[in-house]
Amino acid sequence: MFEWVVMVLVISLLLYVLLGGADFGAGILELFSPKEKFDELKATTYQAIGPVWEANHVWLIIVIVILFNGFPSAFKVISIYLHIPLLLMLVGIIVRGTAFVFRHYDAVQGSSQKVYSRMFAWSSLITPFFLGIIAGAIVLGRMPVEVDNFHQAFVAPWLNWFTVAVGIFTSSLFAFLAATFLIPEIEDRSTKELFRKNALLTNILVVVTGGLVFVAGLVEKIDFPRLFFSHPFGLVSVILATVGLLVLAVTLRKKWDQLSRLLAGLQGSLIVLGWLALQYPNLIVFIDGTVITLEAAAAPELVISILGTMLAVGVVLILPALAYLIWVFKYRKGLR
Amino acid sequence: MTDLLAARSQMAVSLGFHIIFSCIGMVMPFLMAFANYKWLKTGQEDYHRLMKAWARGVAIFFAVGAVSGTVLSFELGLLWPGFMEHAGPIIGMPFSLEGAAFFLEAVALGLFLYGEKVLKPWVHFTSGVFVGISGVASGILVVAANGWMNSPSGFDWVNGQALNVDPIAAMLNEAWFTQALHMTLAAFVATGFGVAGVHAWQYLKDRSKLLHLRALKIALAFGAVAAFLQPFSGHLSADDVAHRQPVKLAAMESHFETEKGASFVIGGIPDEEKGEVNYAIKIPYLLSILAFTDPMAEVKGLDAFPRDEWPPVAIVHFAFQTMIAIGVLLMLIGVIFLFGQWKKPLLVQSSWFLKLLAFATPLGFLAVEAGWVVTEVGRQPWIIYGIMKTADAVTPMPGIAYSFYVTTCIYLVLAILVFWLMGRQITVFNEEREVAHV
Repeated sequence: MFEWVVMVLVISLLLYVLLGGADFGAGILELFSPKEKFDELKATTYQAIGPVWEANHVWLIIVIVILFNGFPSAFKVISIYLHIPLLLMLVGIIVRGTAFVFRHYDAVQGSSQKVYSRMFAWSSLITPFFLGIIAGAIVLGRMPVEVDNFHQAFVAPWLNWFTVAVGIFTSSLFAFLAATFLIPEIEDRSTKELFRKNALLTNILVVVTGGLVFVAGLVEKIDFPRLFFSHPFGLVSVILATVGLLVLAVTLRKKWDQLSRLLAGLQGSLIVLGWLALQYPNLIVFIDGTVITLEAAAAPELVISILGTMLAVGVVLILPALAYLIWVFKYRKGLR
Repeated sequence: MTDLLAARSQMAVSLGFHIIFSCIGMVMPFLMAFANYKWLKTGQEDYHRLMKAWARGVAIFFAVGAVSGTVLSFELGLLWPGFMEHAGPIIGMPFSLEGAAFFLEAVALGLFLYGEKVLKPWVHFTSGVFVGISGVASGILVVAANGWMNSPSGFDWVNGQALNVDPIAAMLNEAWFTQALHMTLAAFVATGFGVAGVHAWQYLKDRSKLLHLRALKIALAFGAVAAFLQPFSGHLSADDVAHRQPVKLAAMESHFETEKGASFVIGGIPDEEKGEVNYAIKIPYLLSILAFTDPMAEVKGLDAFPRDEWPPVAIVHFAFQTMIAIGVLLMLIGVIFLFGQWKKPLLVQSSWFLKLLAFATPLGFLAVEAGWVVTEVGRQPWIIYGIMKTADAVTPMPGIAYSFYVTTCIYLVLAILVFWLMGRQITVFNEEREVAHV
């Protein structure tokens, strides 16, 4: 049951990065799109993510519920010491979610649209940045053992070169996912070309910011060789992700859009799985080197087995519903 | 401002904000689906317009409810890590089920909002009903988790650790049913009267807009039935609180001294220092009857509890009185409406009744807020009743006041924005031409 719970946790996180990430990315792309293409981009974004908009973001709630239900001691540490970036991420989630809906449902399509769009685009850029900072802080593992002063306990664990680099990388990755995922959704040819170009540019951006993460990691004295060699799956994932990016440059050029989409999804998955593999079995690492492992953080057996059962019930209910939703809006619409 | 007070205030603002949107998100889908049903049955374009207008409302309220709910799921840990560490595994079950219900709600809403042209009409209608059903299910599950804080069960508390955790027993705690029933009805009352009030106001302004009259009748029918049932549910809740949390009941009623044949206090200003209520109306024996169905039953007063376990008496008392007063008023309006529909169909169109409805627009929500103040403030100083004090659960991070200010500002701006957006919805709706008249 424990493995099953961990699996659902990982898959939910993965789906949040891929689906929620692409939603964020669509907002980031708006920020950098040429003015004359803006309206079309907006319409495409809406067409593509409108119906699944809310569903894409429920994955984050599932992740949080599994964490506090199944791994309470880890949830506690994260909540206390990463309070500030979590709060900033939440502010981003609020602004973004409301701006998206206001933009579409405001009865008057006037000057306020610009404000909504600006709120939507900027929060789309900033929210994943803080999401990345949080992920980076968990990887880096500098949770304080005791509280000496405010900076040492509540700022230092998450604010440094490495976490900031991971934040930038996350935003780039999301923009890349959106650029690639959206290509087949676009009908206009010149816009399609623009998106292929976007996908290529963001692809390069992902490589550059990924490199930045390594450099920043070295600055923060992360022992990469040791980390990689002790976690071969992590190493393989990182290598595959990098190679995949090169292959993707080719498929984009050849206009194999569906294949590009698939590859981009694979990239995102490899990056998330690689990260988790490097992390395993540790969930929380303290600055003095002590750890809370996944197993040690786990709630009592009965709790885990009930959580697992509830998740299974959830999967049985959710998957058909979600499949139907996607079938209605993606597949069936494509047939007409 | 101490960190504890800041954390409590932030939680209050976040919950107080979220609950309005969840109420509307739970009930308005039913209104929307009902308008859809009428449209499918009668083929009148007006019902279609109404359905679309209500669906826009649902979309906006649902989205704000969803983000503020996401914030809350994090805030539980951000503000109360000491609580979540122990409570997370125990009450995780309703939360994980709620995640599934919320997911279904999001899927159903996506189908309803975007699927009108793609889905078969009755499938589209069914998806609307599903939004409401899964919304109500979500609400019940979250309230069950709150019920556990009032009536902790499903674990043994040994030396500050929860042992022998049984999540099923925790979810089915003694308070879950009465609380969930009361909250679900309250959501129907508040939303029903809220929507009806807005339409009554619009109809008062322009009597040629008959669609507003139809809309208010639909919404009020939901609200009135729920308002009629609510006092019975309230009685069940009071009975339950009297047995489980006598100190909360004592604070609600400003009942300072333990006595047999206790009287029911209406209004008044409690004086905690002197232990008495001034300027109150007292109905003899009624409290004993309501709480224990026996006029001579002994009702424990605040004096039966140590001073440091009293909740803030005045706040709980005023909130309780506000809730009761509004509940009674809305029940009366509801009864008048239902009687009118049965015997005097034109009554609903009379100006005095429409004005009364317009006045009542925010009252249901006010009662919901007051009710939550009774539940939450009335449980203080405990976060888990009798087990863990709120002060022991708060985050060690200093400077929570700033987080409170940020949250409050955001929610304030959002509330203003939503108000303004609704105003624009109504203006545009009124500008559309009515196709068919009754």
